[in-house]
Amino acid sequence: MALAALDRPDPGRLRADAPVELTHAHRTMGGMLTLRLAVPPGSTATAERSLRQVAGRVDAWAAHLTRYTDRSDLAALNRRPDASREPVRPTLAAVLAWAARAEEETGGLVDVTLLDARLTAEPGADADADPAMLLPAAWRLERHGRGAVVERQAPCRFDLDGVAKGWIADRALALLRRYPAALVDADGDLAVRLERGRTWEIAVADPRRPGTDLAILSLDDRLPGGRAGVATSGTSIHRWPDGPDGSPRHHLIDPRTGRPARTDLAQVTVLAGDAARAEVLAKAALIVGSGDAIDLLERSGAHAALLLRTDGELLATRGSLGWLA
Amino acid sequence: MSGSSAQPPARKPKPDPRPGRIGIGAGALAVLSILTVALVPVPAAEPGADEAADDLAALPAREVRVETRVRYVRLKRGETAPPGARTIAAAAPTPRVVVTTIAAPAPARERRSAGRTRQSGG
Repeated sequence: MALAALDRPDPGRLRADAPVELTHAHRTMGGMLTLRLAVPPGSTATAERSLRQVAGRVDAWAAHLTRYTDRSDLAALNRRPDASREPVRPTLAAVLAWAARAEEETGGLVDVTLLDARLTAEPGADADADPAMLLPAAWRLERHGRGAVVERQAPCRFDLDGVAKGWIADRALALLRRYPAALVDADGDLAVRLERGRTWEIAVADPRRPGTDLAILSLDDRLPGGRAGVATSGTSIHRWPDGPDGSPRHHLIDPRTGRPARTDLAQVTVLAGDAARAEVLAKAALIVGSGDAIDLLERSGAHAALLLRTDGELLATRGSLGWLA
Repeated sequence: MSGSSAQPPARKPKPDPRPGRIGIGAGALAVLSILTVALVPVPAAEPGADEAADDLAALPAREVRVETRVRYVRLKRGETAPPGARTIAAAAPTPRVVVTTIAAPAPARERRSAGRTRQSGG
């Protein structure tokens, strides 16, 4: 890991029986991973080990799932886009299984077969890209022994990106189940579990003013099962100058067109039952735009959602106001 | 990709552009999930030593085939439904909350939040 930091509480300021919160941060997945733990008194050393172990697991998962190296399992799967049957190992298979569910639950708005469309949207992209590769492809996953087999029904390359980050956040949180409260921040996608009586506030970054917040979510034991996920999707960070015809250029591809979504939303934040679901709902809402996003989010069972339109108006689902600090 | 095949590649139908409206009552797109037990033997990848066995728990126990099938279409003006089809009127849109009263949160460095959600890479 390139950077690691462990914030320890100052012993001089704590009583022996005081609850302790530890945080651990390091660079991974092209961004920052931050882990936060509420630790019972006297368990600090054990908790520090747990944090390092979980960070190691996150690194291992990310190494399997990244497309930014040619050594990952994902890169191996993408090496032959026209291979009809390709074996994959358990981690990649598990994320693909979630991706298939996410596609179902969003009516196809979240689609992981659009890597070529995404790359085509970036500056300096190959203008001669195969048009057939820019549209969603049908595929399926078969469990096979200790892995699985991906069967493509059309050539495609996979891009897991946020789908994988949400999955990793939830899996990492599960590894910290023995602690009273825990938070996993996988580069902006958060998985949280809280014990009864504890409240943690989650800031929602304002994309218009770096370093400032749009709102604060106050999470407490109203969360079903004491756990939740918070994720944000937007077009502000990975965005490039519009095309000559005025079409937007960013990384969120609309599967209906194979091109960057034409949306009136600049950013969507979703509070849901877990990080993986929050992430795909935020992405789907952003793609459909504010006209249909509220309906989509209400139907999906999101606890709360904040939608920032490009004109600066902030929308929210009906249940959201109760979660704002 | 083989250019000599007469069969066009299988591309998924495009998601409906207005899922919020035509989804009233039954969902915008119906999804058919078929679970079958039959597996075709193929050479499977050997799992690496660093892969924890519990990743397997996240896998479905059987083959999972996901197909999207459009069961609802939006009729354009002047179009009529096919014989036997039931017509569902689009309901009024869900009431929305426009947030106008959020006080500006304290600057990030002054307020101690447990976490911060943001766009990836930001």
